[in-house]
Amino acid sequence: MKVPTFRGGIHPDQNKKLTSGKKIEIMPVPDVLYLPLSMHWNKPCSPVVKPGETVKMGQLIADSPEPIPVPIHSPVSGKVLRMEDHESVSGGKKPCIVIQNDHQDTPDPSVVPLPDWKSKTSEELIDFVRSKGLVGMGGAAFPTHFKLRSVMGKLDTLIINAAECEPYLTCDHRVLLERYDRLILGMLVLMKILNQDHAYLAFEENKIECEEPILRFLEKNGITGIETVILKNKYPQGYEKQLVKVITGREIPSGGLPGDVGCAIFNTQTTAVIGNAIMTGMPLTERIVTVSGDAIASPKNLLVRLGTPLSAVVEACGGFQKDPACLICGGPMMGSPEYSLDAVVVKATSGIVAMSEVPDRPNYESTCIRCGKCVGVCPMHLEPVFLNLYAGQRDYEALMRYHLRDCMECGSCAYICPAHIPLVETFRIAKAKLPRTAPAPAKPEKKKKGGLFGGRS
Amino acid sequence: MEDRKKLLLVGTSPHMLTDDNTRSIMLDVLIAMAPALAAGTYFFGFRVLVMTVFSAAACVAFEFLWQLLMKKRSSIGDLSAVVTGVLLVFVLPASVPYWMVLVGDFFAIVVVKQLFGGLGKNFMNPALAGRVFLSGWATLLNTYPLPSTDPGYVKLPVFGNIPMTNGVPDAVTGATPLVAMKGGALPDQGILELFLGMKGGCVGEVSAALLLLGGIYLLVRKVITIRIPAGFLLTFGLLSLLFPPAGVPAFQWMLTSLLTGGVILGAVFMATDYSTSPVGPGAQWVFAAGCGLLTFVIRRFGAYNEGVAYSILIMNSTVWLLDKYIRPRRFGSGKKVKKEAEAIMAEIKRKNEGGEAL
Repeated sequence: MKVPTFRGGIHPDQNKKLTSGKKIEIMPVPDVLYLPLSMHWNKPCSPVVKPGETVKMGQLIADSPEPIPVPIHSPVSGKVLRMEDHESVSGGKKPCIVIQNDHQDTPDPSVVPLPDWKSKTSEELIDFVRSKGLVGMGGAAFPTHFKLRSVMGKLDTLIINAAECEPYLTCDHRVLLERYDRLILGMLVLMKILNQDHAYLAFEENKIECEEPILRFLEKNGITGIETVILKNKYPQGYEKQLVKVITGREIPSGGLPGDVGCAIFNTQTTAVIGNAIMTGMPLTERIVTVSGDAIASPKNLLVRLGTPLSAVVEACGGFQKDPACLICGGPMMGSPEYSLDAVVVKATSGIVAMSEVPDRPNYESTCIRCGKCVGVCPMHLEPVFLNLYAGQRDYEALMRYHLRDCMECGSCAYICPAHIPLVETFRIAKAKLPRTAPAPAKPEKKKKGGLFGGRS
Repeated sequence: MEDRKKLLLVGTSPHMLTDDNTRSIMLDVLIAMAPALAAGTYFFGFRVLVMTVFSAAACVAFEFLWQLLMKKRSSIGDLSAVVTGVLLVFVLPASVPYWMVLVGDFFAIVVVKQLFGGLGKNFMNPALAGRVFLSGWATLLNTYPLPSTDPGYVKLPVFGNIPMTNGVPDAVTGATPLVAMKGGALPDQGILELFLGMKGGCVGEVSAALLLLGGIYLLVRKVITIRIPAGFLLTFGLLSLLFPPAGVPAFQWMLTSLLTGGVILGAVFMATDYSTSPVGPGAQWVFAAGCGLLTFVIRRFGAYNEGVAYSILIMNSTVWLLDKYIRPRRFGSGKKVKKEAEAIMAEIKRKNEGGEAL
């Protein structure tokens, strides 16, 4: 089905043509891999292997007794060299397990398919999902098993999010085109776990070519209950609140999650990896990464083993053709800038975008001309113009009244601002200083100062 | 430092930025005003063009000197002073002396704009405030030369002042359509003549056709949204349609009202001024409707023939109030949303307990 769009949002240059037509290439695996002990949201794991130990591909190398974290598996067979603090994406050195690759890719005995998944219970399947190290691979890296447990029995709408509204990124596009068998198997598993007989597969119009092969596949295999949803091309169409709104018409209450209106959303690659794990038994040890940007000589969609340094990934794409001014992990709207090519690909690295130019923001305090464009594009319908004003005045009470907390930092306002004011940066700093209390009552200033004309707003 | 080129910059997201900037927006406004300026030059002579350049230069000079004096970073590069300069000439008759333009420019830039903090901080439209300030010279301001399409047209001197007798310019002047309309009658000109601009009036307001062309350009370039012009014109048009003077066909009266005076100039270029209009969509509609309503009231019941400038200035002063109280509904806010969410969850719970397959 086709759905209308949400109010707000922007249309940045998509730049997806650079890679959308490029087939997924398997990247040569480097000799040494660095696996951070935390590739998920929540506490890091502890290693279960020791330096010097041999490991096989898919073998468990780190786990945690806590309920939320997910285990980590070796992407290659070889030897554990050492534990070391290594450059990690989004800044800083973090503890890693360093593995020497023997280039044999000998699979671990635990890597076995699960052909009889249909006879398993939801509980068993959730444990399976956890044991395969699955997290949300769109960027948040939220542990999948934990999400499944928290929504189980409380939903009536299952959505697979292949919107991929970030510019440049095409990895989900390629999954829809080349790995839809695994994706659909993954969807069926999720439907089974969550006891749903229906699921949406939602993607933007720019991926319309993917629809036909998928529909044909569904028909050929007699699969019912999976419905494709064509979304409008717009950023941030893939955000859960906007996605739920356009597909179901339901509005997630402020501060809430999709689960608050009976919805659950899963990432495309996460779902495809679940399917892959059922088919082959292989845990999450590799992912598809879009390597793009005008500084990259030959932009590609690469299948990369986790723990591969960015420098090797860039090398596999012909290196830099221009001096990169910045290198972003994820998409350019929300992704994190990297300062070191030693950082490694992790479970949530959807893209590596190297651009030869960075946004030219003024080095003086730029003047807001009150054009109101930020108000028009804010998908949360906030007023960034006033948030910026009060953040500048350090008026945290006013920021609460203007609901800074509802800002999800999508960057639409900062993108559209003709004065090039770094709105998101300002909001991030101000958010950290907001009082840790519940949102203030609706209009507290009214009583205090009395009447329509009392005090400044 | 040699390796500096190889260092990666770590900035905050988003890492992409629109190509627009303040300067490009102002440039778009200038481009949008060009057709109306051409019309003014065609109807009132070359003096208009020279006066416009003079006014723009004066505004830039005032802004530059003020910021120099106040030791502030010069902002003349953003072209906003140029826009003010052009707009001020747009709302003056072609026959005003140059010194008056200079006084208006000074008031607009220094008093209205800079004294309140400069671009984006002023609460009144500088060009309109400049014009209203010049009301002290009422005779000069209310003498409108005839357009070049009129048989009585007299060419205005390009430079220098127009010779005056007893304080009234000698150039042959005529009553604008608004004078006839104040008396509750239709003007001599037909709808098409009014639409094209064959009438007396201020420099930039005469050609409705070319003003609308500029407005379309601004809409296409997304410099403005449809809200303010549409709200203004619809409100004013509707009131004119509903309450025409006795004995005048209502529809013709509405069209004539819309096409005369500064309504379209005001709706497209003045009321849409960023600094002096609300930022929220709802507040913008109310603001625009207020402009339309006040224009109608002043024209019909007030002492003046025209009320666009006063209406917009009055509404300018309400912007802070509109921004404060007419705010967009935040996504996910409100009791209705909460109730709906609760209803959905209760329904799911009921189904699950009933053992129904979902």
